[in-house]
Amino acid sequence: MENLENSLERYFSYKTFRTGQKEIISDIMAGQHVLATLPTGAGKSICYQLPALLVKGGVIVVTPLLSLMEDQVKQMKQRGYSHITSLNTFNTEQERLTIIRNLHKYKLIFLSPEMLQNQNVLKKLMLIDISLFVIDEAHCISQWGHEFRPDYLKLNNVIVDLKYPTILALTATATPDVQKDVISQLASVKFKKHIYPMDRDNIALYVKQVDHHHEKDRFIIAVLERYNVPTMIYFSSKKETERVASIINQRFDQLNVAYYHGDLDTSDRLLIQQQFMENQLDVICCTSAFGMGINKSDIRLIIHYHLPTQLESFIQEVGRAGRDQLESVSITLISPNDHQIPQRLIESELPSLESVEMLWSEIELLSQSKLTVKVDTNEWAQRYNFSEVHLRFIKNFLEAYGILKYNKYIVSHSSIHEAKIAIINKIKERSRYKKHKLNELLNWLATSGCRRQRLYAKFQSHISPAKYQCCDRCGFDLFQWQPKQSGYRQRINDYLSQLKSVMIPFNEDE
Amino acid sequence: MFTFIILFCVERLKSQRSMASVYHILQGKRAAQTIQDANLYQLTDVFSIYSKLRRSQFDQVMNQLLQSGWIALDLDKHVYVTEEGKKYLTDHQGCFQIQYFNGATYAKIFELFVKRFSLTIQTYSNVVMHRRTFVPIIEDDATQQWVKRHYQIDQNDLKAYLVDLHESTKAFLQTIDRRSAQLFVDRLTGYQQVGLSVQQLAKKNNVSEHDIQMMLTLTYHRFLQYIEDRRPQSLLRFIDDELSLVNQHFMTNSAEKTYQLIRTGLTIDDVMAVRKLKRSTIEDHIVELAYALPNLNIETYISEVDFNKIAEVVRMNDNRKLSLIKSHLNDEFNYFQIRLVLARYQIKLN
Ligand SMILES: [Zn+2]
Repeated sequence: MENLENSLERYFSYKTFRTGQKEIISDIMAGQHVLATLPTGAGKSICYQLPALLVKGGVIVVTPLLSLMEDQVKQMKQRGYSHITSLNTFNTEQERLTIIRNLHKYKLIFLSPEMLQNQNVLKKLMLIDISLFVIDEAHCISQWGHEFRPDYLKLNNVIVDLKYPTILALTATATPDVQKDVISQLASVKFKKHIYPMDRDNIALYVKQVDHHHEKDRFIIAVLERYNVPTMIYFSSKKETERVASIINQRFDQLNVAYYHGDLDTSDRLLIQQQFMENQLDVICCTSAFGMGINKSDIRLIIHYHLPTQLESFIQEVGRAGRDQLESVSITLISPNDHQIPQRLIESELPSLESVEMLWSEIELLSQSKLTVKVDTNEWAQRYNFSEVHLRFIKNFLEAYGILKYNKYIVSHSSIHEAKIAIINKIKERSRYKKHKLNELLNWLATSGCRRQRLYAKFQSHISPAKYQCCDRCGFDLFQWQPKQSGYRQRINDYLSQLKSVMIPFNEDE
Repeated sequence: MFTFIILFCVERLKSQRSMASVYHILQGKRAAQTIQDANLYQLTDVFSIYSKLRRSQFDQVMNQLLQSGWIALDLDKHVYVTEEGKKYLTDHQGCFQIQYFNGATYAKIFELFVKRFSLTIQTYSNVVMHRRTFVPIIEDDATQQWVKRHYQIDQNDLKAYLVDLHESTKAFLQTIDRRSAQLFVDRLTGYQQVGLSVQQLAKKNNVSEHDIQMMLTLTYHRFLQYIEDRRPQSLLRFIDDELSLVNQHFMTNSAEKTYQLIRTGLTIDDVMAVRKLKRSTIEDHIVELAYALPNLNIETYISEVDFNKIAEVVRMNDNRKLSLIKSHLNDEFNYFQIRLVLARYQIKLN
């Protein structure tokens, strides 16, 4: 068998592995279960994409986010790898049935945790040879992880049903607490840990306090006047991405700026992403929806116009800068009362206590009339204003208590009241927890010590000293920064020559 | 341009329809009522020219038009164009060249064509420059498979094909106005050159995003017409396997099923039993068929004498409101019979 480096070059055209990849892959290939934390941008996906090409059986990848799934499938297909599929709740019934029927033909299968609860899927998977079972974003298993997904808890049973294939649990951000929790939730698996530091020594951290959000606009203009480098500006509001993009656009004739958020239609989203990759855009004003699957190594500047809800997300977003290891900068702009935006976001992530009370009254009433009653849970969502996430959270609870069966029957049950108390406690606990996470971020902003030390302290014991400048607390002066500037790109405005360069990029005489 | 199109539709609806009808026609809802409206009010050319339009976006535009006083609602909630709106229409007569829309004919192949054309250019121009990894701008599987199939045939002579394609596309662009041509080219994605999004095009051209959608659609309709007329080989391939769709009857899927049954000689009652549908639904289908198929034999449903009686009243009255026609006829005939005559009458007029 050829060595791993040769395979890497053959399939992915990389000459060397990045930190950790080879160690992790070697252990997996030796049948060892692995828990690995690798920082964002360190090439997590190679850790299972390469084994998928080398092992005999299939590889299952459980991943929580549809966009992550789709991005990876797309990337692999781009590389000409076609035995790959993704199975999720967004497939049409017909597509899903076709994929399930042909599941044995695929080498790499991306699944949402919910799909693994589908008995047809599980039965089919039990019939085929699974060499590797990957749990991506493994922090979702832990209720202390920043995005707990109850369905991840059921993975332990799935692993037993599949008769213990090799397990790879991967995550980008996991505090020691979360790591411990992941291991205890998957009690039947003995993990070998590969923990790699997430601190980034080439990114200087700068926090700018302003009195009013208009000042944020002015500050951004001042920065862009000075620096023309690939820049991302993060917002938590879609409207604001548009507003600031238009301000920048009006102010700078030569700068190419665009906004990006979840409401753009798919084709426009793809175009904007690719323009950024091809350096046709200098500045992108975006929500956190942008960035998944973006593999641009020379992003120089990340500005947070709004705050995310926790340090973990902040670290991930900042980590998109400077993957080429050159000097890069993160700027965080804060004005008074800025904490209210993430606070509101947190509140909207959980169902309100009143709506839960009302739903339970309905369930109690239903269960008194008959032993089993058919219900439409989507109607609940409408009646009580539950989002999809709310509804999943509630349904999981009802199922765990045996009150909801097969997604559509309410069974008369003695524990209805007990379940209500439990779910209300859970909501309160989650909300307290999320507020605590937000406070960690706010405390970091208020710190008087070195920002780098404080940002990563929770995640690792040793933090590398800054390779270039460190942070505003250590005397980093933003306007002393001297990155290599991009030139201004001119777009030809003659449709005939433009048409020719799009359709005939080669020299016709050759 | 979008404003103009909406006012144009509203004007043709002669204050006999609600705002929703305008939406359904532009969006291309394949429902009997919408298809009948498009036929009755001569709006088939703009049928389905904006299938991506969301109801909320449409409502927003309509509210603006109401506020600016260009359209208004009568007591029945029917929408009409005000004097001011009419002035806008006359002032901009001919500005937008909307006579080139061919909605009913191209509704089914337009998007298919755009997807295949765009992805082919992106794929071929990248591969020809030896860049094999790029993110396809068209995500849907059917289109990707289609391009892949053609690529396998062309792969040894990509350059020659691109040169041909460029020639034919250029020839077409030279037949249209400069601004539309520039817009068309700005949207294309090729090697190391990514097309502009609708939002960016709107900014560049200083018009609304809706306008951009309409301008692009119009240009593509003209492109399709050009391909049908001139039949350049390099472009014909994008539609030749779907040309049947161009001429496919302009009807709903459900009406098509009913048609298959009545062709075998089944009566309305038979079809009701076979399809387990209500009489009124089958009658809707037959009316729809009468619009789509000029040769449909309707004598089974209405005698010649009755037909002429109704036709007489329809001809004397410009108003095409069913209830009015019905009362003019002293309620002697039912709605089905009247609609049937309207359908046939409409076709005879043309
Ligand atoms: Zn520092």
